[in-house]
Amino acid sequence: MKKTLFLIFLILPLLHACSTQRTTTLYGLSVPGLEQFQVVTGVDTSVLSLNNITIEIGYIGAMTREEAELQLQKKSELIHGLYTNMPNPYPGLISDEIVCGEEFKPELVLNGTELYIEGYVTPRRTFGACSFDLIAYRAFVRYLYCNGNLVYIKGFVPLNDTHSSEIAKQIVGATSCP
Amino acid sequence: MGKRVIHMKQMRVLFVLCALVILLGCTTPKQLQEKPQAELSTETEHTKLYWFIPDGVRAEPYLFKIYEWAEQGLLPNIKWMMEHGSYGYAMPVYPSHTPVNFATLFTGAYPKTHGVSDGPMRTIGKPLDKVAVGGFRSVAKWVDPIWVTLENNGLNNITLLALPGSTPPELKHGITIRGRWGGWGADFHAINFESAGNLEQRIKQGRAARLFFFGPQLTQYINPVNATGWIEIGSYSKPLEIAMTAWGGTLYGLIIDTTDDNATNYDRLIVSLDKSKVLAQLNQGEWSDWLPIDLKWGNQTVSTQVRVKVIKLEPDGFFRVRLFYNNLNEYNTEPGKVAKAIIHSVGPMMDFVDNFPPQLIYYPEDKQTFLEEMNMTFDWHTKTTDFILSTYKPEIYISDIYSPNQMLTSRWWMGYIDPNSHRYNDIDDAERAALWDEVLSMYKRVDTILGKLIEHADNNTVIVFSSDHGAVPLNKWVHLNNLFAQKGWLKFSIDNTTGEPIIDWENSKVIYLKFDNIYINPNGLAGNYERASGPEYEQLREEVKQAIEELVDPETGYHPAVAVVKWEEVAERLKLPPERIGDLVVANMAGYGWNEEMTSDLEIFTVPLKSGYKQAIISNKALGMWAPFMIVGPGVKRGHFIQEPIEMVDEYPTIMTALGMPLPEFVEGKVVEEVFT
Repeated sequence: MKKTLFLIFLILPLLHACSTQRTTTLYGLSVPGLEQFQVVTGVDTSVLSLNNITIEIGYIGAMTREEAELQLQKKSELIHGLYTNMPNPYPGLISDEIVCGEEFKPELVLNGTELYIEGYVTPRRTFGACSFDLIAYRAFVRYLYCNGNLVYIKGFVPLNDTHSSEIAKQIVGATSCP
Repeated sequence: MGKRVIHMKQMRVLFVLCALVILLGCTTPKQLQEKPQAELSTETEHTKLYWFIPDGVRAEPYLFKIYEWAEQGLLPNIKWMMEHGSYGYAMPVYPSHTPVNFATLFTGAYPKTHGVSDGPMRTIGKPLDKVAVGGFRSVAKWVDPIWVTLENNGLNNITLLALPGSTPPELKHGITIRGRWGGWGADFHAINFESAGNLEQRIKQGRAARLFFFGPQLTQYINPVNATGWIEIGSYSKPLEIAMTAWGGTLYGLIIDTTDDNATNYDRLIVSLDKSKVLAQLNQGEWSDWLPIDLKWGNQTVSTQVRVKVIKLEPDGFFRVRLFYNNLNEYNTEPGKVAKAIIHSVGPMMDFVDNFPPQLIYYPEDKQTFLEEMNMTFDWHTKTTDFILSTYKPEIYISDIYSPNQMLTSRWWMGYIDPNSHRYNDIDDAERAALWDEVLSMYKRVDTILGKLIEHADNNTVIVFSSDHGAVPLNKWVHLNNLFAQKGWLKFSIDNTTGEPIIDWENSKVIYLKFDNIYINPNGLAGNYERASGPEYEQLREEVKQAIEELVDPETGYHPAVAVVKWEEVAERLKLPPERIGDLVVANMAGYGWNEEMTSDLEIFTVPLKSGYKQAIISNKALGMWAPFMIVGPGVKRGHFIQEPIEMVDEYPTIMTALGMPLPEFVEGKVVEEVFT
């Protein structure tokens, strides 16, 4: 009887684990936790949504590892450059520099063929806004090199929904290349 | 008992099997029930849109009579548009500045709704000595631009070329090519290099050669030194060397004398990357071909090209050399491979003739350089329009070229062709006719690009030709900050070595900041800007308002201010967003321009070198600020002249209607119904 109970206790957590870790495969990526999401599939992008969370998974192209590294370096530099203080295009004598507060700068982690970006984006889901009146979402973005392809997963959540932010972050973070 | 043991064993096996099945289920990827996007979109072919919006094309019925010029045969493609569509004039919203009106054209909304009140914008809670929001950035807009709305409506093949407010890119599927001044990507503007010898000239230029964008100064001063390490190159005077370094790349120049006449008369510049291989040999007035060069952008090395122009090379070795870098690369185009394809098929990009502040206004030779650069820019844009429309076949193609604005606000033209200019009589009619020829040749080049759109259009294409503003003569700068200093409201000192002002923010109560904002706080302007209130504030604000309204140009008797509006009234009176403007907004009379610069003599009115202006003018009565609006396409009347000028805010809803697209809720412009059959 004890052994039976032991086995039941073994299986219950497994069942639980299974219900929370089921994975979806899109564009070669294994993404957990998307069972309840509604999905619209395009040619090179799928958009999945559930309540406040939007997940975009997409395919950039087939390429070599070196090409992927170069592309991600470029993407990283482009995002980084948006938050660098720079002279204003129509400089005045007095205020000639556009500045961006530290609080708006995204977290950027580039590791070879993987790039992670977490930060604020506009209603049009574009990075580069340095004022809260221009920001609508928190974004969690990962580019991965997976089986010869550069692919990405992006999670967007309205700014004030911290609970959904955690879920989106977990989904993006747990995504893997099987 | 024995049976029970067997039963338990069976149970255990069953549990283990279950566990294995469950585990297997957990680790096997699950395919979602996917719904293909094609099922959601309609199969109907969309009406296409080709929209050409050259910057700063003045068009009005009295002086820049483009429709009359077209009738005379000078502008055949504009004539074709007149015959096949509806046309008239459009008035910019206030302020009549590029980023504001491009945002208006692209949203069909006023600045109070789209949020772009200017190029440089300060906001509450941010310090005034920095720009908080750049109006040229795509992200500055509070509402969706037309490309986002159209893409959301199922049009996925959109190409945007050189549009202010289009970067960082917002298109998911289309092509965004070098949006202007969006602060996105590697943008290498042209730089002048000049002998450091003339201090007076240097100070004069230095004040206007401040950092333009993220990069080096627009004009850099270097002293030639005796040449060392070069391969043997004959010179009849001691060869001089210059190192022209910008954007992390260096081009070396060797200044030599090729005439054997026992005199020092330098006349040629040798260009090299390494002092060994000669890339170009140029006399005064000559351009090199495109030369390879590696530049730095962040941590990236960008292999690109540069053209060298020797603007001046005088016998004593004084030089003025312009380096024009390829404006296009994979770091300012999305997707980057499009930049490579264009460079391969059309060539490196020439764009943005001159710069802002203008640099090609100081020497007579600068004018010729401007014209050459402008023609090369038009060549590139013409070929690229052809290439894009042939290769990518976009459903939506929107493009800009900056040259008209630069020409009409430069030093050389507007001041001498518009009778409203104080300089009009400084030249004779023959000289004026020559200037008009140059201006007309620019309009012809605009017309040629329009012709490319017509060539590629079919019966299901809407073609639109418009602009963001015109330009008028600039007779006087008005130094409002000197006025405020005279009143004791603004405290500053001048750095004797640089000539730059050092502002005492703590003890200053009033300051003017580009292009039309006055910031006021009786308790000082230091720290983050907060909107003040209370009787002291109200009294000071009234005094400032009165001082600006009463300001008179002693030479003409004119009051340069035509409107001084309190921040709480701007949404109603000027349709501006109160969150992004100062305590007062000031609009100026055509002929004048507000200037931030403060000087130790506290002079308020000065005569500028440049002779055209556009920024802080209310356009309904300043006809020079008007621009063309022409539309051709299915359902659009042919040969129809729109008698009353429309507002630029009306273009978007009219175009969307022509495309058969629904109007977003934020649209404030009205459909110009009379253009439809």
